[in-house]
Amino acid sequence: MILTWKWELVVYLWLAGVAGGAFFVAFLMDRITRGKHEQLPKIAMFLGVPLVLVGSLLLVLDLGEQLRAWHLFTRLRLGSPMSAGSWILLLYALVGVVMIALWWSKSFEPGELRLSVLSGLASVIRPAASAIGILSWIAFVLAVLLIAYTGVLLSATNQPLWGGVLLLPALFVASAISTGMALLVLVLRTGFGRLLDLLFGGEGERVPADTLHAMGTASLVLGIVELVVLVGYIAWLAFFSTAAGAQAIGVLLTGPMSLVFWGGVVLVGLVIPLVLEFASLRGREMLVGSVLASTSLVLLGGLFLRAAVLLGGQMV
Amino acid sequence: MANAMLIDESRCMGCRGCQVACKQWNDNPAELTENWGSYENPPELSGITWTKVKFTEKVEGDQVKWLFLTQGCMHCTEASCEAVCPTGAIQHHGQYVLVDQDWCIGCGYCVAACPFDAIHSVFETEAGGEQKATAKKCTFCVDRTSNGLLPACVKTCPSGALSWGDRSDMIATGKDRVAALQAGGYARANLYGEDQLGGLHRLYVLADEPSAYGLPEAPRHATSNVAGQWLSGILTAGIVAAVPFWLVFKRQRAEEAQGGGAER
Amino acid sequence: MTNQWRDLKNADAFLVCGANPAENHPASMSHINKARDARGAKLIVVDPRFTRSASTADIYAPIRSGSDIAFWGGLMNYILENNLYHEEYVVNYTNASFLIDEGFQGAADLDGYFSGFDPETQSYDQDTWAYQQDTEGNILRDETLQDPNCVFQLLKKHYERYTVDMVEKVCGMPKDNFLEVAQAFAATGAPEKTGTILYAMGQTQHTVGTQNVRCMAMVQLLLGNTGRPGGGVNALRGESNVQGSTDMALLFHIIPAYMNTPNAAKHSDLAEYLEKETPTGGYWVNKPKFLISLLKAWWGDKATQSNDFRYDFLPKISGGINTYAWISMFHAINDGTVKGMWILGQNPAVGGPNARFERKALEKLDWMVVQEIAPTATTDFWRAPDVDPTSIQTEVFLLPAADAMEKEGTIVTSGRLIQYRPKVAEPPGEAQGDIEIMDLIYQELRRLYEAEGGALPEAVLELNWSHGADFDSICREINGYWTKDVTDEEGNAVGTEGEMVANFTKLTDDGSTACGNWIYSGYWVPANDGDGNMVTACKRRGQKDPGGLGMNPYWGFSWPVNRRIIYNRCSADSSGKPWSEDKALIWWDEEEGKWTGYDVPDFSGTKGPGDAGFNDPYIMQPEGKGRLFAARNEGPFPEHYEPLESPVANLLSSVQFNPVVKQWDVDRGQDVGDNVGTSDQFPIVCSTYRVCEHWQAGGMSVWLPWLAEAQPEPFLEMSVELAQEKGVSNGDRVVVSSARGEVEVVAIVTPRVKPFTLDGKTVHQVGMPWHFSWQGLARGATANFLTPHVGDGNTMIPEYKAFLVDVRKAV
Repeated sequence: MILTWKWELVVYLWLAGVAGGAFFVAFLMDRITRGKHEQLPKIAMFLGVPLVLVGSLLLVLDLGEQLRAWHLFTRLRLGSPMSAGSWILLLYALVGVVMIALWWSKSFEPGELRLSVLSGLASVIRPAASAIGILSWIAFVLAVLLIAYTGVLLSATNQPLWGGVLLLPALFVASAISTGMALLVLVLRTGFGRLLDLLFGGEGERVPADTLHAMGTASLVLGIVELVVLVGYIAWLAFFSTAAGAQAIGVLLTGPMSLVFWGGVVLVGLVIPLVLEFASLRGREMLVGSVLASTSLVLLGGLFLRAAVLLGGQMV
Repeated sequence: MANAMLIDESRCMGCRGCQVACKQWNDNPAELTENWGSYENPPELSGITWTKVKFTEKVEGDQVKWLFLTQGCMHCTEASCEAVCPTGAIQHHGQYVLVDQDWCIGCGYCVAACPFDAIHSVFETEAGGEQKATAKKCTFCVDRTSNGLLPACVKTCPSGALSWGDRSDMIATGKDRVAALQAGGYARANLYGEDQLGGLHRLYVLADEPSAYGLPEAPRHATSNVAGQWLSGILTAGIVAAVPFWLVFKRQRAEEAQGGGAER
Repeated sequence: MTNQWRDLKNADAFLVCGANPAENHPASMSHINKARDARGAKLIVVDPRFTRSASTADIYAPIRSGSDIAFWGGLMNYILENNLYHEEYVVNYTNASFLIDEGFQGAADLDGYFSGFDPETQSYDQDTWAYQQDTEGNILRDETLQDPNCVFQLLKKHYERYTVDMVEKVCGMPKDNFLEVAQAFAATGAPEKTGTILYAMGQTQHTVGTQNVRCMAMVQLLLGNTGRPGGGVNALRGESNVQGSTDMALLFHIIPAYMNTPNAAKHSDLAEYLEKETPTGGYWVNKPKFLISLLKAWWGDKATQSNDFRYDFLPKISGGINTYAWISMFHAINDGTVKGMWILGQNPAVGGPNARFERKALEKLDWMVVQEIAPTATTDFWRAPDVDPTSIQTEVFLLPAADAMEKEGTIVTSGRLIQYRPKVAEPPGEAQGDIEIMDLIYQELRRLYEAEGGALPEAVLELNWSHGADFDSICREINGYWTKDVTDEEGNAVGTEGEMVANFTKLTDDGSTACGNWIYSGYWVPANDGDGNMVTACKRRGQKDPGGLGMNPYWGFSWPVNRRIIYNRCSADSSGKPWSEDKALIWWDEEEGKWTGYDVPDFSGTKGPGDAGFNDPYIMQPEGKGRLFAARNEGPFPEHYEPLESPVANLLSSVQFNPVVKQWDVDRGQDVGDNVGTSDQFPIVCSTYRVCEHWQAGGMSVWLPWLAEAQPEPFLEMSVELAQEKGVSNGDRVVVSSARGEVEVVAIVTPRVKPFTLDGKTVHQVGMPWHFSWQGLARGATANFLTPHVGDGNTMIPEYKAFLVDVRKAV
């Protein structure tokens, strides 16, 4: 059988989900705590923009005519999730880059300005820095669209595993948010987040322990949400949709994608992390670095989920 | 006055004349194939195979049926490929749905969107490797029909199963044929393509129900519920945002409200 | 074919047995479908497998390969028992009423034999098969058909044993299925209805092949279908010009057209040949004209009355099929009798029976010339994958040949229709047309004979080869021309030297005409194309169809003399009126005093009611009647015998196998030899056949990428039940073995093939296409590794269609 979309698309879907999901949770946490965690959206964007750029490169590589990729931006066809998605991706990257530039420009002390080329550049940008607030909101909306559109794109097709299945966008969104949170926790716990913050002129503050604890609880809840949606997705295809749908989900449950699905998506991506997280919340850290383990596994699980759904969906 | 193709599958003998004529006219190379337990080859349509015959064996009691389906682009009035194409490369030209080969970027979305698996951007090379290019499919031989000729497959068909003409004429002929089949004992004979997806331009006289041939009974337009799908995604984000985060972070908010601890 | 392709639209029923028209003659389906649409005609397919033809048929009945005579006999018995035969036709147009010698005994009396069998010579003394005659030589008849010695009663008696039960037991065809077929087709016995029988290799490629065809002729005579629109006995010829090749006598036993090759013992001189070969009645009384005109064509001015028109230069045979036919020939190659071989567009390594034997035989040749368009397993037999070239002594010459599109020529369809085709492409490289190549060889042979002499050099040097490779010139010779000016008694010019003869009625036996093929005579002469233009007859493309019966008299040239349906006297009743208006083809016009209609009458134009022979439509027979009773080597009535390799004993008699067929036994017991298998070793019946996508022995199709893509390799079709027994799934590879060899192919497990129940015993059948070899883009095992080295009792056409194998899953 011929697969039109292969590993490039699998990785792209994963990266887009992680990037968008990370900013989504970061922005939410910052807003809910009324701006107590300003560095979270920053870190999320510092990570997210490169991920999105790499993802976009993979998208172009996947094309049959790579040099024609610019055709995508000659029009917006709202009815086509791919057209909408291309623009969302472009705008998200642009907004992200602008926000990073603005944050960076704010990191210079007033007196440092005009002393070097870089600081000269920063001085030009800095006056616009007050736009960061509105840009963050725009980025949030774009992030929601970004994590939603990939699932919408697949469900607006006629492949039995995807076509018309309303729970597929829900599944991809749940997974994106879960993996986005996992990335943030991983980055913060390893101190890499502080490093990023410092690099871009932040205070390099530690995130308080109770915030980290809350993030851990949130990760657990998000994992359960994803599991519930996944079960719903499977049940829908297996029992309540067409014969073709049942055959399609069979590819994941017992067919060529079963190892990726049960091993990668379920065990590695959901069950083991949930067990680890549950244990650590009870105060019983089962392994040294179990947070590192559980977040990494969640991230991997997101990759396996995209692989199972994208590749498996082309096998029927 | 749109033209359509009528394919009388009760008269098709699966000879593959259409398959080879299409290859010859469109200069499409052959794929490397092996017999996988059927006369059918290649096993699927691809970027270089735009029409082929699908062979299905059906057993009913002690009767065997060998059903042949001449696959290819249906040139749907409501074309899913056209709807999802992000660059607008796929457009209706009269009744023909055509891919602008200079504009297509080969993204492959139309491939997934087609309810009939009729368009492809990847093909296997004769050496056995794979190549990705622009999306390609049956064009109804628009280069021939716009010059007063019949599509290559129609011209070649030795049994007269394929015909080409004004769509309403084709429908009338098809219905007559269905009536004759029903009178001859084929109770489930039907005409496929009259109303599906706003009307298909590849019409079939089938001796058995569409699913027996592997055709979808009620083909679905790819973006028929795209608004609902966006809503599903966004709502999930909303629910995930509202419930877990609010629950988890409400202690911090409470603290904040009490004015304790938080610095700005 | 007695009829034409386009005539098929006039049929009320099609009985397809031993053919697969949807598969191998797909264009014919459009004509068949016209009959189904317009007149509700039924398509009946009788075949071991549910084929592509069966998929569109109204009635399908399975039949075990090799049991056709049991089926046809059952059908004849059904027709006779239920009085469904066309009585007026049978009484008047067939030899049903003729009395046979009282000494005649049939298979019902003699347990499978007929009277006169000599076990030592394995042949019949046919004296007791003769008609009873009065003292003046008139044949005795009983037109009430009651006399126990009349053909009709003998026929009834012979086929009484072929009951419906017997058909079920021998053929494995369920009773109700058989009755469905019989009822549908026997309905065409009604005077206003006609049905056509379409057959091909599935009937001919058996040791009883001739008798299979005899059955079809007999059924059509009983039902009154031959010589009428939508009727006839219609062979679907296996190649686009095999009809042409048999017309031009590319077979050892005939010279053009359908005259016997002189036999050294029987025909020592021209007079003896003409005496023995010319019958006393029927159109063949003119044979001397045809033969002498042929000799004049070949030796021109050098052939004169005084030298017997160079009859002595004609090569003579000294034996029959057991000496010269294909299998015999390969034995002669194998034992060194034949030292060299010139192969033109043929592929014995793939198409020959017992192909391993035949490939090995080729290695014994001193030299081989192969004229081909593409590499085949024959052109490269000396470097096949399992052959060491250094061990081959044969000197092989490859002459690249132009293919059909790269030269002009004529081809003849199954319906005897000769159509001219122009050259439309240039041959590649050094390739040339066959005529050009033969001319080059002739010129060189001539030069060598002139220079060096040899045995009977005059036979070559005196040949009238003035045409060289000039196509038009050759066609004029085939058409026939006047060798000198000829006038009639009144001094009117009848023919001018060099001018073409109008047709074969002008040919003479005094040397004043030359004609390369009398049945084609008239084909190269300008004729009206229906639109007022005079065009060379076989080049015409006029589309008018007076009568609308599909005769299309202005398109091409249908031999003889553009007759479209032969024996068409039968299309009118015994008073000269058509049997029905919608199938009126020719009829007697009392006013004009002649036959008229939409076809050239296959009858004397002015012979009217009351004239002698008015009801003798079968003009090629001396007695003028269609022969229900007709002498062939194994009997005057077809009798069921099992194939050489059969899974069951013959239920009709204790004669298991056709008693007149020669069985070869060279190297029996060796790996490569004339081996015969038994059913305990090889319990499964196997047949070979063709697929739409490939062509004969493959040369023309296996190198084409689009065809190789559609049908890349050979396969074995087997039933679900057999697959289960052998642990084989669809798409698995299997090894098929017979007493002669083994092949490995992919298995197509399908419900379209079912096991047979033969008298309570389950017998499996499988089948394989035979186009393939190691050469080509589409390639694989050669099915003919499995087939036996045995052939029909009259023609030795090999028994490719029914033999025994075993099947196992490939490791």
